[in-house]
Amino acid sequence: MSIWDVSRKEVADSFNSRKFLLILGLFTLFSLGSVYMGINSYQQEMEGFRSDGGFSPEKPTLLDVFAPMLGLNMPLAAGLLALLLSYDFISREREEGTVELLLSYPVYRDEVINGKYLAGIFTLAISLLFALGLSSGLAVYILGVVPGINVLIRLSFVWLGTLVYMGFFMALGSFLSTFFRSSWRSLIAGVLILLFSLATPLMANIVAGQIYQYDSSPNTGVQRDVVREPGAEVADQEPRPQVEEDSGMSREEVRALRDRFSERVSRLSPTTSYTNYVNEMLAQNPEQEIDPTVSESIDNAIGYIIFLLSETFLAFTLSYAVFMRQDL
Amino acid sequence: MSVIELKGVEKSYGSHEVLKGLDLEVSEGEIYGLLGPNGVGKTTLFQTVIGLLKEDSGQVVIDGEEHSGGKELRRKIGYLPSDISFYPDMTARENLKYFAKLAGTEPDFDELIELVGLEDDADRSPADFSTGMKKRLGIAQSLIKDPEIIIYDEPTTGLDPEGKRKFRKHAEKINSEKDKTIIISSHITTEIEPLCDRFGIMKDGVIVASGTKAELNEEVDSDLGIEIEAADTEKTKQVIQESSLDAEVEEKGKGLTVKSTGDIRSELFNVLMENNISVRRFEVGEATLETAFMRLTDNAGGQQ
Repeated sequence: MSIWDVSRKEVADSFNSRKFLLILGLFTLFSLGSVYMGINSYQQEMEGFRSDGGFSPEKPTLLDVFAPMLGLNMPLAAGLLALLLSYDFISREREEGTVELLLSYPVYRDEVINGKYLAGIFTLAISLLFALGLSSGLAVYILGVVPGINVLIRLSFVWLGTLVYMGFFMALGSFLSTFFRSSWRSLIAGVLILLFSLATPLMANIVAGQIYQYDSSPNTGVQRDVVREPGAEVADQEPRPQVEEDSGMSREEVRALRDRFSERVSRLSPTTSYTNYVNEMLAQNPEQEIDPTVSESIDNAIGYIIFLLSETFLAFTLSYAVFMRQDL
Repeated sequence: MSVIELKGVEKSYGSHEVLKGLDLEVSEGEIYGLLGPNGVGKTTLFQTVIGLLKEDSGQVVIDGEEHSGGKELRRKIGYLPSDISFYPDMTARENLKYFAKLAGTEPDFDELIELVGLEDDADRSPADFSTGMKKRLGIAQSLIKDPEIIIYDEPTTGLDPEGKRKFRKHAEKINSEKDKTIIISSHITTEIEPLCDRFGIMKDGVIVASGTKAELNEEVDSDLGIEIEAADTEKTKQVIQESSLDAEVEEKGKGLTVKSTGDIRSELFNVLMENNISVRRFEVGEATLETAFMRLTDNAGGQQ
């Protein structure tokens, strides 16, 4: 089948190309660096835990070693790696002048896209496994702690989730490579979208702050229910919710609206879905007082993956729609 | 039997109409030359035949079957694009092997490489090849599917005279030994004239004339006339005008040009002899494919 032939060629091209080896090298170094930071933090937390006699701060787990890498640094690095592999899927064929010849063979256009996508996912899966494997090895080597089955299962799910996240950016790169005739434009557009996705929670907060405003200074805000007589003692009165003059809502209500708006907008960002997923799977959700079981974590995280998958399908459908109707 | 038949094919890019109800018929086993100035729609026509483009209206029939862009029909057509490019990260041989996988065939690669004379360069990247070598590799590539029809789009562009000669040799060999139907496009008549059995002349998105060289010449022969140089030009002109010949006479340089709708060579010669005209030169203008092409496309500047 043509799809496998296209895939095999793409995989071979990737593994033989200097560009890919360079990217993989940087990605691995970055992963090792992030895990090294996690190890230092783990050791400090462990010292704190021991010095406290094992009571108040919580005992760190091996998963905490991976938290900085997967929760903070990976969203940028994984997205970038996926984009760098896919931004020229179709545009490169056009630039090199091979697309006309390729499609004169018994190959459908969707097979070209699917083949390249499959090859990309395979390459990413291997790269990610390589980077995670090396990072885990480093953690085990330095800390001398062998990960238990629970940790391994959680890390496997994180690997899978990261692959889905990368799959989204690969589908996006694929779409941009059909939309733009120039590979450079496709790459620039992809990186801008990635940065936008990373910055979405911050921007959502800013926008929410503009829409749902309240004065945060302690002396403003009218306590309408309180009638103050001159010289009256109010210190012992129960604190009342501060009410905004314009909306008639309490400060807490405005804050809740603001948070809800911010959260809803942030959720549109694939990066937010991914970090939420990772936090759930690494049991890093600060709102949970008791560490969830793996099964509970999956239940909590599955929605984020489904949302990421739906965004991936959308990007993929767009690349189909553009490429299938395009004159060469 | 026709292996390619196009009926009323129309294709536009946005508001730009490229093919305007084009009709074309190519018979099995022939080498068909498609002549037309640059930008007339030859490549669009080929891409439509191959199924790379979908016609807006009309019918494309390949080997008796209407072309729907399916794989089976694409297997029947080998294609050499005008700007042929190969994957630079693979050697020439690996490129051929990749295309063979896509085509689902297992050709004899050594034979293909030998056919185009690339034995010493097969394990090099085509990125290092000259234009001529790329075209030769392109010819080998066009045979990978063992297709019934081969389309060469401007195959001689960028080739030196030796390269052009070699291309003609390869095409003839493929046509005669492998019994393939070949369509070659060019905007330079002399490059494909010795090679093709029939020609189609394309202008403004349609084929304006089609046939063998002789048939095309016949269409324009009447315009060419007979050139005469005589001792007394004035008297000669008067004699011809007063004769019963259905001909027009005009002075051209030192002589005369006589034009007629039919073949009047012998009658004209007799008239001149009977009137004791001393003829220094009597030359019948012979239509070439180039003159036919130029007349039919009104393209005096289109030739190189």
